[in-house]
Amino acid sequence: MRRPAAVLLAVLICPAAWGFSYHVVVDRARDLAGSPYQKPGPIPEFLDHLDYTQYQGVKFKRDRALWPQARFHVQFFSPGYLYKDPVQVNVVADNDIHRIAYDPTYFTYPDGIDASRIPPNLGFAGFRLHYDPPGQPDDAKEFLVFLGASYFRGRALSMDYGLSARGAAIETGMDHPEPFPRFTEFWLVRPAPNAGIMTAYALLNGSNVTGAFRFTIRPGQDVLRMDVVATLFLRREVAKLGLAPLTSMYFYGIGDHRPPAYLRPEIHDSDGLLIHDADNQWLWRSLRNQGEVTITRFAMPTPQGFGLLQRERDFDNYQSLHAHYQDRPSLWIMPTGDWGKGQIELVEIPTADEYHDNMVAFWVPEQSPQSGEPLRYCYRMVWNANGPGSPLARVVATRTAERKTAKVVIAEFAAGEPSLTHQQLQTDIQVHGGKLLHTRLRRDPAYGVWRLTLRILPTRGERLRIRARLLHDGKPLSETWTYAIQPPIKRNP
Amino acid sequence: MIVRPQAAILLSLLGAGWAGCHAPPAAAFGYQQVVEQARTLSKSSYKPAPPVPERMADLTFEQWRWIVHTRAHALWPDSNFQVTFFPAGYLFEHPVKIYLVEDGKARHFGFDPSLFQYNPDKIGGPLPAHNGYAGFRLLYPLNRPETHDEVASFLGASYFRMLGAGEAYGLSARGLAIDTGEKSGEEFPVFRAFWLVRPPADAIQMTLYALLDSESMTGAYRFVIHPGDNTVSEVTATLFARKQVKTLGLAPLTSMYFHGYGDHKPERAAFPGAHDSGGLLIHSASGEWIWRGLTNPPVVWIDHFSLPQLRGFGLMQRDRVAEHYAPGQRYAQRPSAWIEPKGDWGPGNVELMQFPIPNETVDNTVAFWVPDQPLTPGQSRRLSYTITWQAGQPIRSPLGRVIHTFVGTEPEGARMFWIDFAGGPLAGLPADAAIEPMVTVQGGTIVKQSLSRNDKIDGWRLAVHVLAKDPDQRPLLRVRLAHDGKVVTETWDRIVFPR
Repeated sequence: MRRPAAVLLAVLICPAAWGFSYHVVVDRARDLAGSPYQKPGPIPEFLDHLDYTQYQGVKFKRDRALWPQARFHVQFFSPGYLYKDPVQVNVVADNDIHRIAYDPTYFTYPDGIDASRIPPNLGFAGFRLHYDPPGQPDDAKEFLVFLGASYFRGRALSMDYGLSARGAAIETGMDHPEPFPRFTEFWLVRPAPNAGIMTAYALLNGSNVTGAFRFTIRPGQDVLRMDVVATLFLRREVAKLGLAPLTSMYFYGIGDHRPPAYLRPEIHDSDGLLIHDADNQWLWRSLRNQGEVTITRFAMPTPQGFGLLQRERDFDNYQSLHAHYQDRPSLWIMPTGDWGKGQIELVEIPTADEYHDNMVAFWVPEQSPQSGEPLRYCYRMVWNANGPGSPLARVVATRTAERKTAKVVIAEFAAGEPSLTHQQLQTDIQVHGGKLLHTRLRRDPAYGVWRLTLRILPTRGERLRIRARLLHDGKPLSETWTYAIQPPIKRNP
Repeated sequence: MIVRPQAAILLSLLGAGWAGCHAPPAAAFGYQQVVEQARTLSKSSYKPAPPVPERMADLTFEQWRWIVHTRAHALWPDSNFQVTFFPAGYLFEHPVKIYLVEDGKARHFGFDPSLFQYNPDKIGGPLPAHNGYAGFRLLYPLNRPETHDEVASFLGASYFRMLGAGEAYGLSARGLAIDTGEKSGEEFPVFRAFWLVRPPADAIQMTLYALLDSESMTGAYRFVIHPGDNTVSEVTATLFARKQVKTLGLAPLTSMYFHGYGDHKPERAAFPGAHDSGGLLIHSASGEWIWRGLTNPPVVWIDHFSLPQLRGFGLMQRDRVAEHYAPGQRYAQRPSAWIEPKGDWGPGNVELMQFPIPNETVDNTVAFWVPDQPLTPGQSRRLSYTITWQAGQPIRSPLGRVIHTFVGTEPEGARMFWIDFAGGPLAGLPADAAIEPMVTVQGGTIVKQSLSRNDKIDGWRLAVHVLAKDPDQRPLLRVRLAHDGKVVTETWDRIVFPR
């Protein structure tokens, strides 16, 4: 791989005074944006053609992980299968930057792969981080992976992997194929042996955008926190710029009618989009896998937070002995400072299985930067079980049923305040694309919920959109629940 | 008129009692008198009780249910056991006779309109003076010492149902099922008279008798009811055959299965399950326990489980998780009912009939015992059994149990089943224990089978995919698990319908 001369020069000229800092990566990104985009070169064909099983057979040797003396350890992925674009990984230590070269002795290879054919300077596909919690040395738990395009996924140490994040989403959910910028180079700052925090930098490159990222990473038993500083440069005008993107999977849930070949009650990595807006409103949008791509936009000033959550935590509702959906994390994004006006966009793509991510959420700023101008923004990512824990009655389930012509849509809110009765509450319900025929609110002690049941006659051919919340003494008692149902797709006979 | 034939029977019965028994002339009224009534009745042809006045028969359910005999006006107000009555009317158009037995004497308890609270404007006038009763409820301090809650109800044909503590009414039992599922049509015997034996004020059990009548059979029934966490009813029945019947269904149970937690829910359903019973459990004299999960089948379907001797059978509501059911119906609190014969009922079969229903308001499941030996006209037979009404699992088998069944359909048409087994000898076994699935199929092919440890239930999950040999076949699939060559679970048993 070529290394742009500017950085080399910078490092050569003033290593001691400069050391390594975020500005180095920002400068790299700026310079990169000023030159034409170059696709990464191909990897050798015999690696390119690995299938999933073969690729799984390429295993990093645990004892070759970086930093055996520290709490953090780094393991690498070899290129191949879907991960064809090599990335360069550097370690920053003692005011020095050194590149970690691909070394075939890091890996064991399955039969049929001749390690001697691997070219020098191949680069890695990505890397993952392990962490020894204090008091549990040698119990290294994996908690963060950077692998493929600008994807990364994290988890609290006690949880499983689920949804992913990306550096940036460019023109997602539009009519043309989405360009996927990718992290092409990383700088991992070697942590002190006892440190519980580590820092990583990443350079983003794509046909439309470049960027510099700093991740400050704090793993924990129940939560992984990552503070992100990002600077983007546009190579050209971008029709839709998605910041802090989340990518997840929602196949079907408790309220849906499950496909015939599936025996499990629910299959999803996330079940809803939660938004905490600047006015302190909490809005929950239940996810849905339906017949066509659906884009939902929530326009607002900078929100206090948004994220894709996995609220259903009961194995009983998943029943998978392998996938552990009940242990998959929620991911909550908290903008730091003012991101200005914009909108949260939720893109729902139909899927017929659980192996394709089909839910994307991100922030689209109203003002896109001019090309050449940096867009700097910061946010915190919280990977934990339940997201931020809103103070209001949370939406815990959305259910649907069909009547002859009408639809029954049910929202269930976790019921606190056992003293309240349904007569003391008010409902605030808005229905677009249909006629609300009947409303019923009841407390169900057996489920521990307030259950709002709506019977709606959908307007033919229109998208049905519903918004509802519970009020007590005129103040919101619950989150605002929203849901959308597409009209049936007309198919030509 | 209603009164005369019954009075005549009572007289004849008393006469028979005096003439034929060694008991002293002042013999207390008891079961034997009801038996003699049934015997006498069987010698004449069946005459249904005259119906109520037409306007009462025309009442809707909503009108009828608001004619209420309130608990505050129950019979025997100072006793543990109290009684309230249902008025005849609506579908219950043939009144039943009620007798109270006190101090060994049976006394007719005539219809008393003043027992009922109702709005005459809503039912087209006051209750007719001789309207009659449709049935009754028994109240008992079942759940709290100071509150009389319903523990049993006898209403309509030979139907009755009972509750253990903390439960809500679900499945029903009947005195007798005749020709159920036969093309010639089912005969519904009716209890036409009841004798309620007044128990002492502090009694913890109560006895009542009932006279059963139908085209083909008569019978005398004794129920001794012990309320509690498990409400146990001891039943003795003496049957007299007027005519030959095709199917003599003993100890029948009637229930409803629309859909369950492991099924694909119907379009109209918003919640995973709606059923009063989840499965039929059978205990054979060989020691085998068979679990047949109920379905809402695509067609009327009858199964026979042939046994040399019956130890017990019942319709079970095993799944007690509230969130697995539609709310507000208390499906998770519906009782199971377990039938246990006293003495040897001989060879026969448990018959299970299920038929398709469009919603949860209709019963679609019937189970009963059919003895191999028929009852020929003029013959009589006495049998005794207990019905235990309680939460979940009246009888705990020593074997691992079926916890859940999940179903699906492969795109190529094979039906997929996941069967979760746990408990009994499976409990505490290491994850690598040598568990062997024993799978048999008739009329189909196993296209896939795999066994997985299920840590969540401290048990195992068996996945089986079955393809019918041809589209008209309904394979019979039976599955159990063995450990070290020994059967350690119930037999999971299923008719495989196409989706």
